[in-house]
Amino acid sequence: MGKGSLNKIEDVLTAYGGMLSRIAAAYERDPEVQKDLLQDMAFAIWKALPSFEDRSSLKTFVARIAQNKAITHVSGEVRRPKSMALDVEMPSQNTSPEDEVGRKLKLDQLQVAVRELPLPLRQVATLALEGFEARDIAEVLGISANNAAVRLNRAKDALIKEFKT
Amino acid sequence: MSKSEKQSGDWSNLSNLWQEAPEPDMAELVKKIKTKTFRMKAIFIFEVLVGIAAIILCLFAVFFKEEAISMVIGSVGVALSLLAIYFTWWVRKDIWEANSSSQNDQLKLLIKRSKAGVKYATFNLWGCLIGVAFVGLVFFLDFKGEINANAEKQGFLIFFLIGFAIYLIGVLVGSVIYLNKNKSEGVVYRKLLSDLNEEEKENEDPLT
Repeated sequence: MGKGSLNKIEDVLTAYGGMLSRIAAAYERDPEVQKDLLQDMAFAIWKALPSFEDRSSLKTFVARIAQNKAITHVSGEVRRPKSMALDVEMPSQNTSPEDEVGRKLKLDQLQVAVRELPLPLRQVATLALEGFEARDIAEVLGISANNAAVRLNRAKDALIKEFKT
Repeated sequence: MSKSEKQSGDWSNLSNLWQEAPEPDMAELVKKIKTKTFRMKAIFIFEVLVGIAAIILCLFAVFFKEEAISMVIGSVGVALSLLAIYFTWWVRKDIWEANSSSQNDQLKLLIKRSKAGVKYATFNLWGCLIGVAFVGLVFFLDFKGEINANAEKQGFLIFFLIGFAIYLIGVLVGSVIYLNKNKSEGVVYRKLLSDLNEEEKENEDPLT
């Protein structure tokens, strides 16, 4: 693996770092462990970058590796206790601190709801929230389009219902 | 408004909220990747160098010691060291491969890793036992009859044995923890693989 792939990973992380970070948050509640998971994802992408071919989009390629890496995290998640304090710090420029804190709390609530989903639904929910269509989700997860669509509907219903209650 | 339009609107709100999560520090992330790569290579190189050092010591015993037993012990030592170097490479060869494209293959790779971890820990545990026997034999043959007469050798022996005991306890405890970790991870990954495949079967359209 040469210097070229290291330069390229910097571009990939600049473009998709936010997505990776959100996927990591869907699988891990502890911010410190989230950072480790994000690092593992980035490392796996860097290793796999030389094998990237233009058959799929780079975003799909990155999401697939991130999802695969997130699965590796599940065993650790099972062992850890579930309690986690909410981090309400968030810089604000345009809205009032109350609004910002409110949005942050809602975001935390959404992340918790996604993490509570069973793994097959969590996988599709994370990708759908990133803007992937059912067909792309099927490609990322290596499942049939029909299966992806069924899972996606269940995940959407579960999350929307959770947010209404 | 239809149910699907309502769902679409609600989902769009959730999606927007989801995208608001703060971005991580990418420069720090790239730095960490470089450190991790360096650490993995350094550990591998260190283990190979330790093996080579052991081979050199054993070869010294084979070619420069006069007793026949030294030749036997040296030869066994060379064989064990070569085996250890080979094992160091073998246990990593599948782990360093690039990620496979499907999640099934990825999970299979993880199961393979946990199996390799179990083998690695088992090898270390057996290595400890063989190491104890080997060192005991070397000391018995080397110090036989003169342990009480030679104070310098006695001091060296005590110093060596304390160091060896600390090393041994460290390896034993570490190996048992590593063994249990890999065993439990293997169970979780197998269950995950089975769950995901079950889900796939359940959701398959019977008409397709």
